[in-house]
Amino acid sequence: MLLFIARRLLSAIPVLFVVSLMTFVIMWLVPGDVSAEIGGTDATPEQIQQIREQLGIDRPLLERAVNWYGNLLRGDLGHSYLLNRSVVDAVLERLPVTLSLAGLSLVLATIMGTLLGILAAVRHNSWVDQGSMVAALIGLSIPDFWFGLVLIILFGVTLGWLPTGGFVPITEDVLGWVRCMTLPALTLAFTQMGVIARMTRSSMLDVLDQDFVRTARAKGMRARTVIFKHALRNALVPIVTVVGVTAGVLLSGAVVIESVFSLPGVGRLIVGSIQRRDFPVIQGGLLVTASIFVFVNIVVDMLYGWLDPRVRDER
Amino acid sequence: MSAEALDIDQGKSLRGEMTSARRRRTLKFVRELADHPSFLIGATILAILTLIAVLAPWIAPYDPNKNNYRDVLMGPSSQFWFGTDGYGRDILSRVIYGLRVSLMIGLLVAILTGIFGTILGTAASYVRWLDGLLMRTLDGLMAFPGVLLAIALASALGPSEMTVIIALTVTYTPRTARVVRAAVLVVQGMQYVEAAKAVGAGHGRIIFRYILGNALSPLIVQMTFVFAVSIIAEAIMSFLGVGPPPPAPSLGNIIADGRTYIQEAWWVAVFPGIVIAVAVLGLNLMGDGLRDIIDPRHRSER
Repeated sequence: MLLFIARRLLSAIPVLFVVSLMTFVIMWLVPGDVSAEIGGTDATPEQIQQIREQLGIDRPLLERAVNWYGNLLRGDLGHSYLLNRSVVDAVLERLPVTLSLAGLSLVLATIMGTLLGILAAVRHNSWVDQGSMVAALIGLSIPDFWFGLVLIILFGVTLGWLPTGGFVPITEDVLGWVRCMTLPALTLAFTQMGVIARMTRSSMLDVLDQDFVRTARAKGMRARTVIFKHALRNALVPIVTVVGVTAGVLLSGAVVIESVFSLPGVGRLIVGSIQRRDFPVIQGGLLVTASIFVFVNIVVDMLYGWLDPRVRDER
Repeated sequence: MSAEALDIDQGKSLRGEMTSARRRRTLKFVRELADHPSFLIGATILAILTLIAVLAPWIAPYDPNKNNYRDVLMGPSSQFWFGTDGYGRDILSRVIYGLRVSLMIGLLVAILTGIFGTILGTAASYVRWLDGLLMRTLDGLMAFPGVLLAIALASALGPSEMTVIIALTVTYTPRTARVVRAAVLVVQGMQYVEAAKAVGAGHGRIIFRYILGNALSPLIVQMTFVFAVSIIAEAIMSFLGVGPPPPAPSLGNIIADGRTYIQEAWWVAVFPGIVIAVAVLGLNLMGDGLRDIIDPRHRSER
């Protein structure tokens, strides 16, 4: 198992390298020169030259790349053009909001999705089955940011039960935090619930057909024990995989949903920086979210290896 | 009749049999598609939406970009089915033209990822030393969650329809390349490919004639799904301000407009989203149906 973990961690290095290279290339793609924009309209050519030197964009490409990697390895993602602080600080400050939103919706989506999937599998071919699969397909087809707006219109504007946006830190007011996180988390969970429900259903159907389930039933075990203890446990590997994939999707979904609900997370930071053309922050935000994504995938792989020992030995 | 002529005759009839076998298979495939309920529903939805998009100039009741300050933020009525926005523009007309933009972008991205995915996927599986390098690079590209890479690329290149297409193609090509690579790897070990090599067929002939044909079905399924996600991704990008710049009516732009009036005019944001959902649902149904028929193992899933 240790060897498996080590190998998996090592395989992340080339991926992270491509990620960092790509973020660098995106910056380099930017047409024109940002220094004129930072200086403002009445900056003298000398001032602009000074800004260019400060930012290091007057250097040759290779030198810039070497600098960027040097700083990166020291954990320095540069300085924001406009926020007057380091990119690492700006991103880290926003990270808890994004992670808690993604985590909360992952928990919701997993609970709702597996329950729906189990129900559909146990009542195979009934209206519950068909209804839940239709709901899953619709959830897959709805753009999540739009669904968020619909929920705002419904629960925020028309019914007035929940705030239409904004954020209250959990440390200040727990109830306020719950109130402002409910709609965004539900939005994300609803669109991803379908994927999990579909996988749970097909995995459960496979397992429910097998001999040991029949034996457990034949010896008079309670239906609930058979389903949750025997069947579900054996159906878990594909479910965990899909939940892992969902975790990544939710992370990127959170980035968009934050803009819909005005939550101060990394996503809104990135989008705001795109509008302000604050490229170091875009770069840093991208790098951090992509790294978390890679890390989540490794964790999923490890869970996989823990649940199914055959995976460990294969490679 | 000479022996030679007889041979030619036999060859001809053999070839004739082969083409008719192929035709029979194609016919069977078409019949299966026509019998598959979800494919049929999906294809119908898509056909109707495509028709509306193509005929937009004749169907749209108003000019999608014409301001009309007498009818600002009117609710849905018999005059304006989907209501009007803050400039008095007719939402229905804007949605029809927006659908045109969305479908065009989705289709182009699906085709482009299909082409680049095929090239990269075939190269990776056919040229051994390229495989590791290419696949690690694609893994790296896939490590950016969701549309984030497309958003960043589009923000660097500047907002336009072309940018959106490029950014989404870069984002979704890796997945397509993986699908093609997996399909090609399976076929590559088959005896008939060995046989073709043995009789001295060139690389081009082997790839195009014997290998790619077998990667085609998973590729088409994949392209359907890319089409669907691209429509959503375009809407997200327009919503965040890195799509085709306003006042161009793209479905995402209209939703972004609607967000401003969310307190007093729900219809601006709601209708374009429903159209996106219907289009994506149609494509997902088509993709599911195609996959069922091409790969019967999936059939047990539903």
